[in-house]
Amino acid sequence: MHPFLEPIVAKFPEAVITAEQDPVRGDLWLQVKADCWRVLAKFLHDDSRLALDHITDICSADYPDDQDRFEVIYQLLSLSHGTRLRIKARVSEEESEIETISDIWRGANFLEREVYDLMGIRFIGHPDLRRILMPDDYEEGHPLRKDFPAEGRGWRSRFDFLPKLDEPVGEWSEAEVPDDQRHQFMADDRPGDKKRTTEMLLNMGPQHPSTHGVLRVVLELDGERVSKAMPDLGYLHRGVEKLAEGLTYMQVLPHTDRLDYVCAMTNNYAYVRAVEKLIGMTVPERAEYVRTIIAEVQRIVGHLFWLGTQALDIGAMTVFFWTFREREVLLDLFEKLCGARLTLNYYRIGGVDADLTPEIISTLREFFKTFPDHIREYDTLLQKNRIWLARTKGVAVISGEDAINFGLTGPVLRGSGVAYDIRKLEPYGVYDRVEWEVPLGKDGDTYDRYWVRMEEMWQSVRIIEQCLDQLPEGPILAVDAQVIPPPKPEVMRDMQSLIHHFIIFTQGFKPPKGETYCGTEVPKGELGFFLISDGSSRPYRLKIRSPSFIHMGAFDYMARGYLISDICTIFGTYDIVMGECDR
Amino acid sequence: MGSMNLKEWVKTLTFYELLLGMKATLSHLLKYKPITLQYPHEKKQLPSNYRGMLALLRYDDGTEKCVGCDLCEAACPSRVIRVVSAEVPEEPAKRYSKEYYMDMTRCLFCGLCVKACPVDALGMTQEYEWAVYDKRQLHLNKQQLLAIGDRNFPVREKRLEFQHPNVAYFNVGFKEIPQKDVE
Ligand code: SF4
Ligand code: SF4
Repeated sequence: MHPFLEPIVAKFPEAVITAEQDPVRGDLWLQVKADCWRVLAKFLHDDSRLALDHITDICSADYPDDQDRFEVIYQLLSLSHGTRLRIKARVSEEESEIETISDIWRGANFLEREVYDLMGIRFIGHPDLRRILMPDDYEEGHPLRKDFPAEGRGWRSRFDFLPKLDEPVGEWSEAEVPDDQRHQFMADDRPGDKKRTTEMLLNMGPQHPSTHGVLRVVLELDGERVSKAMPDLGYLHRGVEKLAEGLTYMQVLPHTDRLDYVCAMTNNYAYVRAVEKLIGMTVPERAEYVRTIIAEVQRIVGHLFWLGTQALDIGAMTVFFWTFREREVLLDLFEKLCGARLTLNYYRIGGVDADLTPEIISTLREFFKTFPDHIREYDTLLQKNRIWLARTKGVAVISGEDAINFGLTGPVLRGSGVAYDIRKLEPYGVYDRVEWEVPLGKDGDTYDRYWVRMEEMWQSVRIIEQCLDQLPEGPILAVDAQVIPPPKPEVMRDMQSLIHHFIIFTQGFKPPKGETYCGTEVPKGELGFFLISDGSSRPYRLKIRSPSFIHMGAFDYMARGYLISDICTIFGTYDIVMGECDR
Repeated sequence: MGSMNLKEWVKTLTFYELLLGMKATLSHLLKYKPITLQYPHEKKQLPSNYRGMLALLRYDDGTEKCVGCDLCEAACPSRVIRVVSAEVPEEPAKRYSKEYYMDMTRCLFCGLCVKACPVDALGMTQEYEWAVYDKRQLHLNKQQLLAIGDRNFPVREKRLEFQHPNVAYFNVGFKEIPQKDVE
């Protein structure tokens, strides 16, 4: 047994059913009894030998044929030991309940709501167990259950393909919401405070320019100060996870572009990495370099976009135009590389789609000659600007411990001084072959997060320049006839390639039975894909751990006590994209 | 220390850092030319691998490339394509697509269908101005798709069997197979 698991099994011999390490992928996991889960969870969090302080993800899987139908799956991470642990607990259909852990890890609050919403598992003791992604009055069940049809019920999905727009519109009635359900956004009853007579509820969004998508926040105000903020998510929920269950592994890839549509490259990267980990595939060296370079270019693009919009949210318009000017150069580069600007679909399972041509490399080098000057330009506008300082210093402060407890990742966590970067902790690509540093903030306020991202751009430049210097020659796609389509010219000349080509495109490849979690450092934080394979060519379950969603879980905590105008700052400082948050 | 403070003071009173920012902004007037394009009067030069509107292609003798194999339909992640394939009349060994539909309202422009097509019968063009008033106009049939191909790909490929001596003789009527010279 892995030494990390020993203390758990020694302490809870009857609660732990299995404690194992995946022999191929190295994931540590425990199968535990659901009714002992809470006690165990406390121990996992508090015991210094484990110190699983970071909640990465909670998800669920449905096995309709098993006696205990549902499985709740927790992904935990110990930042001090650098170890991940997956805990699984089964609950039956009749008693689909498990105790909440949202008071141990506060980040679990939103994640448990999501599991409740999509799978229908109740969390005993959860403070606010409501639907989160689906509408509150959604009555058709829990979409991720296997007996829920994968096809929707809209006009487009009646299998007979042709859109019938000329049909008369169906009967439409306005659903009456019963009164007792209308009040879920009302404030808690709070004693004290004699001056307040009524609380003011303010609806911000879903159509508000600063929310970076369709996000609604119900603010409870005390004068102009926020005393409670309740995010209402799900306006952009498209059910990507459910959709993926009906697609082959290769077909899921273009859908990942549309999660965080500002940084499609890194989404692709996160997904292909997860699939490669599942099937145990290694990628040619040149492809690893190209992937790292492109992921870092995407990080710069993402951070430029963030800087422009954050400054715009706060009222500085010039920066927006300038960052978009530089972003445009890089988007043109993407366009040359893969033929698209936003929905890139460039990474492939086993490599990348197109090689870096000498022309693209020289454009990149050219760009990096002037880019440092541009970063300095942004700095002249912002870094010391008194308005910028007033709007960012000391706004939305979160301490390192709280940030970990909420499961925050990426620049939001590093702004609070926590050195968690997957590129360092579990290096992938060629991040371990180049020199770079993880910039850390001190105060955990908006200004520090701004500073961290600005520094990250410098580091990305460093990484890319070193990668370009080291870039080896070689293939950009692994060769594996079972998984990767053969090169096109061979398809019509070689019978075997033709057969493989047909099989891969009609059926897809079949990974071995198993499951794995793989997190990737994207500009917004940790984007993780959790895949369960039942040995068929489609994922049995695909869970997307999206950083924006988890960051929204800390929104209430970070917004309390600040002004309404600071709410825009907080959206910006998370670098939130609703396509990814709502999935 | 005291002089530091004085310096800071003067900077604060004179809005020094704001002036620096203003200076940077104004210097842009001289340093940079406008980089925006006056679309639709000016248009971008698109790269040749641009993933735009889809099209069906023909060989240089005008025959359709598509052999109705359905691979594009199977590969498409959002069920854009529907192929009805049939045997070529009078040539039982040969197949073609009798009907071919694309519902472009749901296309992701991912290019998987192009990758999947074994005979390269699909191409992605550089057309992107496909806004319409009625969604039904985006539901394209074979003739429309071939027409898009015709206007975008003036240079056509030779028939497969003439391209390479080792081509897998796939979907070729028997009498068309170039026979090897027998000594
Ligand atoms: S580009 Fe992608 S979504 Fe569009 S038809 Fe081809 S495979 Fe389908
Ligand atoms: S894959 Fe190519 S040949 Fe086959 S049906 Fe589609 S377009 Fe025609």
